[in-house]
Amino acid sequence: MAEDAILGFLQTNNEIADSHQFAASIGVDHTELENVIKRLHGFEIVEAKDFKKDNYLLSEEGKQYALEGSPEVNFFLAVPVEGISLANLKAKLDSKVFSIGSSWAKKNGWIEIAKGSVTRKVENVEDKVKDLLERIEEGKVVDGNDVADLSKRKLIVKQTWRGYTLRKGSKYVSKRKKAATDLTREHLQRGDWKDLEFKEYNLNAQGQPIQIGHLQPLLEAWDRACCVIVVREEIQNIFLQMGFEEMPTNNFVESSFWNFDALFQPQQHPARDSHDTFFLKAPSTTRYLPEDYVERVKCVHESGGYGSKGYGYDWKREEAEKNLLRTHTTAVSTRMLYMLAQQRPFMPKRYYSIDRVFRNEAVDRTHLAEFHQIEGLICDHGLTLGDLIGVLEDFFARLGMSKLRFKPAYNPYTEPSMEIFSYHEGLKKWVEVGNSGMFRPEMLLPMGLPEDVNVIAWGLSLERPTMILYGIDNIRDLFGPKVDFNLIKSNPLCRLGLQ
Amino acid sequence: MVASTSPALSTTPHPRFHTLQLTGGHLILTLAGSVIFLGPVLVPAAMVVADFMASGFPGCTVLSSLSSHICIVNFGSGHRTLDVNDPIKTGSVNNWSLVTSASHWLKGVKVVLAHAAHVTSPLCALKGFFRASAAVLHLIAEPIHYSADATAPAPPMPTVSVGRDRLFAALGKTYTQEEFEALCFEFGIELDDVTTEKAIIRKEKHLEDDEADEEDEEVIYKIEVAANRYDLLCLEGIARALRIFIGSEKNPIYTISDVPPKSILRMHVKPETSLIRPFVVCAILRGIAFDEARYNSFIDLQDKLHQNICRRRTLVAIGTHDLDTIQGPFTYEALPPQEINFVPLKQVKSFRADDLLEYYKSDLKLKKYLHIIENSPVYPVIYDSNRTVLSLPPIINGAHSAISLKTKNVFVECTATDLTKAKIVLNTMVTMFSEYCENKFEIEPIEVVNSDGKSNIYPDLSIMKMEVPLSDIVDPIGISLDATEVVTLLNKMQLQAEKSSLTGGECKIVVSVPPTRSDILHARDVMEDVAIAYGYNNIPKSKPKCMTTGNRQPLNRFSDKIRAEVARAGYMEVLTWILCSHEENFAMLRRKDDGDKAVIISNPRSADFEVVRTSLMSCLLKTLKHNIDHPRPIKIFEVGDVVTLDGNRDVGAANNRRLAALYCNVSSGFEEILGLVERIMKVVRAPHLQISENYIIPSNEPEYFPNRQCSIILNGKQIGNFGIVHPEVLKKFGIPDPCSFLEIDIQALL
Repeated sequence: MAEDAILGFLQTNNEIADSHQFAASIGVDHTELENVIKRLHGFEIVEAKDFKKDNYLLSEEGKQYALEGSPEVNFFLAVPVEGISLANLKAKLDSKVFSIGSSWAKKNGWIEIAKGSVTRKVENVEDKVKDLLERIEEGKVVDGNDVADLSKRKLIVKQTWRGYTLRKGSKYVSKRKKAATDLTREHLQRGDWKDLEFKEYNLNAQGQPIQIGHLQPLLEAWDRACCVIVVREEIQNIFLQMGFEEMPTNNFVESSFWNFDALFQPQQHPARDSHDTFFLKAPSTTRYLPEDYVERVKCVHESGGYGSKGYGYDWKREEAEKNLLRTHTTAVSTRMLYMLAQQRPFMPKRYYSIDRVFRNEAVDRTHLAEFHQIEGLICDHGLTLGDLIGVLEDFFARLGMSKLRFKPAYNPYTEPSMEIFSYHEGLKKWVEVGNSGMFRPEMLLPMGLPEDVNVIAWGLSLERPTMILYGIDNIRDLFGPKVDFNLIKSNPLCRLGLQ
Repeated sequence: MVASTSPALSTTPHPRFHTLQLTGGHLILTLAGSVIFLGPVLVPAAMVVADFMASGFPGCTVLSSLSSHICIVNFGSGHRTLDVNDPIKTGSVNNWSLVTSASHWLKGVKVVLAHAAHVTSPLCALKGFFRASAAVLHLIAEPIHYSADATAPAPPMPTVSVGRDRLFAALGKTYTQEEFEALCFEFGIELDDVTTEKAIIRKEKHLEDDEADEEDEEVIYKIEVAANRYDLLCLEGIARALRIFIGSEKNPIYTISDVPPKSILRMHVKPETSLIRPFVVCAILRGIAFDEARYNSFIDLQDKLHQNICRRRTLVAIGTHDLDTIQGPFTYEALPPQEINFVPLKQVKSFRADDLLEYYKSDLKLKKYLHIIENSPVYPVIYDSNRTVLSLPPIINGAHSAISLKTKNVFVECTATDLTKAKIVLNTMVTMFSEYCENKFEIEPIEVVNSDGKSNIYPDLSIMKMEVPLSDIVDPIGISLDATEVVTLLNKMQLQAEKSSLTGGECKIVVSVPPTRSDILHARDVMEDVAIAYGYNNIPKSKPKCMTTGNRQPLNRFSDKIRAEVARAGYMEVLTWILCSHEENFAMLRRKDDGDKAVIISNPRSADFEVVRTSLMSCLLKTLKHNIDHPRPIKIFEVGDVVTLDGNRDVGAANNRRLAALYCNVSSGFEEILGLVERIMKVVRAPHLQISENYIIPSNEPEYFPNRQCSIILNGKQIGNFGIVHPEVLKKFGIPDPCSFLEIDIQALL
C-alpha cells in the first residue's frame, strides 16, 4: 500500500520532498514507510536521500496549555477589573496556575500585586503561548526565539527526525512485481504461479534440521574414512554369521562362586580385592549353589585333581558366597558351560555375548566403572590353539583387522593365554585389541565336561576398539549421562559390509 | 598402585595456590574467581565443558584435550566457602558436581589447587597458572595411556624396573630397543616404558625436565611380567629366563648345602603364633657378594613380592638379616605387644611394640600394613637365642640385624598365613640371589621345629616331576612335533625335560619343574610353554569343524525392535550408567528406600556408584541436564536393565529390561508421551492377545506430578508408569523446563 502510494505519487510528481509529510498524508506510520523506502532504494526503484529535521513536540505541560490556555492568561482573567485579594484569588485558582501564572503575569507587566491584593495593569491580554503551542502542534514554523523560550519553560521538546527525499530511481516502475519465495497451495488454486516471479534461492543457506531419532553410537556401527569402526550390532552380526548363539547375560548380580571360583581363580587373587570388584551390601550373599559341583571346585582349588596340583590353600565357602556385580561376562559363560556339561550327549556349541560388566575403578579418560565386554567361545572335542588363532583371524578380519599377532600372557582361567594385537594402519603400530585363550582343565573338568573337550574363548571391550578406530580419546564420550547429543547426531552412516 | 583412601592431602607450598582446611573432619574450600583444579585423578572432561559453557568461554574442547588433569571453573566473584562433604548446599548444579568431584580427587595423594582471584577468564587463569607453577607442567606432560585392562578381567601386571646396561651385561648381549621389544613379545613379557632413574625422581618431585643432563643417566627399562611368574620380578630372574630362552645358558640346578644335622640352624615355632600368623619358613644365603646394584635388586624383589603374591604382606612377609649379627637357634613367637621391646630399622631408640604401631600411623609406607596385626592380642615376633628381636612381622625388622652392602651371610625368614605361598616366596628369594653366593645356586637350609615337635627343612627346593603324554602337548596346540623337538623347546622355558625311557605304547615326556616355576600346575601349563617356545605366531591356523547355528536371545531381539520403534518416533537413544548414587535413585526422585528393592554396593569408590538403579528416570534426567542447551523439544530414550532384589533367584536379585523415554519442552508434552505409550502398546500386541482398552489408570507416584500421571496395566499387573515429572524432581536435577517421562517393563510385553 505504502509502496503503491510512493510509486504512484512519483509517477506524476517529480519528488517527495519530505517522507514525514508524505506518511502523514497517506495515513501510515513513518517507521513503516521507512522500511518500504529502504527496500525500494535497495532495488534502485527510487532514490532516497536522507535528511535530518528538528521537530518539536509538546510536553505534557505544553499540551495542557494548548488546550486550556497558559496559566498567566488564566491568572489574568481571574483577576476582576476591580481587583481581588490575594487570598481570594488563591482559593479561586488551581495552585499551579496560581503560582506559575502569578509570576509570569507579573513578569509580563499585566498585573500588580500590592498589599495583599491583585489588580490589572492592562485591559486585555493575548495568549501568545497558547497560540505558539497550537502552531507547533500543527507542525507550523515558529520563530526561533519563541521556540527557545518555550523550550526553556519545558513546554516543548526537540526531536530530531530522519526524513527522506524521494525521486525516481534508475529502475523505477510504476508497479513492482512481487517475487514469490515459495510455491503455496493458494498459488496452485489461483493459478497465478504462472505470472509470478520467484525469488532467487540462496543455495548456500542451510537446510532445515530434520527430526530423526538417533541410536547411541555404541549400539550401532560406524565407519569413518579408512578404518572400520565396530560396535555392538555389527559385532553381533559377525557372531551370528559365524554360527554363534547369544548367551543370556541379563544378570548383573553374580556370586563370587560363578564369577571367580568356578573359573579356578584363587580366593586371594588381586581381582577379588575390594578395590577391584563391587561387592554388595544387599543382597550380600548368594542363597544356593550346586553342592556337588561346589565340592569339586573346592577340591581342585585346595589340592588339585584332574592332573593338577591345585593352589594349595584353604578354600572358604563364605568367600564364594559373596555377591558382587559381575566383573566379566565369563561368569555367564561359566554357567552356560556348566549347564552344557549336564546335558547328554555332549553337543558342541558356539556362544557369544556383549553386555555390561563392572569394575570398582576410578573413572578417567580410559577407564569406566562399567563397560561392555564382548565375549566369544567355542566348546568342542579336540579344539586346538591353531583353531583359536584361525577363529580370531576370521572374526577380526570381519571387523577390518586383518593383520593380527599374538603375545603370551597370563590369565588365571585360560592356559594358554594370548593377547591379541592388531596392526593399526592409521597409527602405524600394533595395538592390543583383546585377550584369548583355552579354558583350563581345572575349570572345565569339575563341571563334568568330557575330558577331550576344549573351550577356546576370547574377549574384548566394546569401548576399546571403538575408541581406537574412531580416534576418540575419552571413553566418557562414548556413553553415560555425559554424552553430547550433537555427537550422537553427527555420526556417519555405517558402511561396514558395504564396501 | 592404588592410592590409599585416607585423606592424605598435600598442597604445594606455593603462595598462590589455594589452601585447604580440615575443620572437624570437613574439608573447606574457599574459592572465588576462576579456580584451577589439578589432580592425579582425572577430571571428567564433560564437567569441564559444562562449566566453560556456563562461563561463556568457547575454547573448552581445546582445553579439555590439553590435559585431562586440569579443570577450571569460574566461581564468580566473591568468596564462597564450600563444604566439600555437604555439596548440596553449595548452590548451582555445576558447582555441585564440581565439588563432588573435587572431593573425589582430594582422596588422591597429590592435589594442587590454584587460585586466580582477579581473573574472570579461564584462559587467563590458565596462562597465569602456567607461569606460576613449573610443577604443573609435569602433570600436564604426563602421557595418557590406553590401558589394556579394560579388555579382560586379568589384574594389572607387575612391572619390574631394571637398568638396561646391567640387563644387557647379564644377557651377555646388547640389543637395540626394537630387538629387545621383539624378544620380550616372543617370550610374553613387555617393555612397558624406557626412562631414567633421575626422570623417575623428577617426576615424583614435579621438577622440570630441562634440569636434566641426559647423557650420564642410566637408562631404565620398565618390564611388565605375568602376574604368576614370581621368578621374573627381578633383573636376575628376567636375565636368567631370557638367557635360557635364547639358548645361551642351561637350566641351573638349585641345591641345598650339605649341613650336618648337628650344626643346622633351627627356628622354633611357639604355639601362640597360630593365633595370628602360624607359619614361618627360613633359609640362609652364605657368602653372598653384594654390590650396590645387587643389593638394591635384593631389596626391590622383596618389595615386589610383598606387593604381589604376598598380597601386601597379609599372606606372607619377608625379613632379611645379617646372620653374623645374630645367634641361632631362633624362635618364632607371638607375644602381647607390651612385652616386645626393640630398636626398629631406621630408628635409634627402643620402642615397645604397641607404641611402635602407634608411631607408624603417621608413616606413609608402613601404616597400610598395621591393620594386619593391630587388633590382635598378640603380635608375631622373631628372636635369636640372645633375645634380640629380628623382626616384628609383617611390619618391620629390627635395626640390630639389618643387612648392608658388606653383609656376607643373609638369613631370610618368611612368616605367613598361607604356607604354600610362603614356600614360593622363600624359594624365589633364594633361587634368585644364590646366583651371587660363594657356591652358586647353593642354599643353606634351616630346620623349622613346630611346637608339636615335628620339623621341616626349608627351603623346599624339590623338583616336581610330571609325566606328560606327547599328544597332550602337541595335539591341543595343533602342531606335530616329535618328542626330541618338544624336549628342546621345554628346555628353553626352564623346564628340564626328557623323553620317557618307556618303550612302546604312548610317547611321554618327563618334565622336571624347578622350584622357580611355581606357576606350573598342570600338563596344560607345560603345553603352553611349548607353544610359547614354538612361537604363537608360528602355529598353523585352522578352523573349528563343529557345525552350529547362530541364534539370539528373544528378549534382546525384542528390545531391538522396541528400540527401532521408539527411534522412528523421533526419540534419540542414549546409553547410561547402571550404577548411580543412592540419592539420585531415591531422594532426588522423592522416593524412600524401603530396603526391599535396590541392590546396594558395599564398597563404592565414590558416591556415583552406591546403588544399582531401580529405575531409568535419574539416568535420563542426568543426561538431559548435561545437554540442557540442546534445542527443544528434547526427546530421548533408553532401553536398559534395572536390577531389583528378588528372593526367587539364587543370587537374590534379578535384572528387568525397561524402556524409558523423556520429553522436555516449554510445555510438559504429556500428550506426546501418552502418544508414545499408545504406539508401543499397539505395536507389541500379539495378534491373539487382547489388551484391554483401559490399560491406563491414574496413579499416585511421588516422582510424578499429581493428577498428571498414570500406570500401565497388563493382565492385572502394573508394568509401567508415565506422567509429568514432579517439579521438585526437576529442580533437584537442575532442569528448568517441564518434562514428561515414561518407563515400562518390556520383559512383561515379550
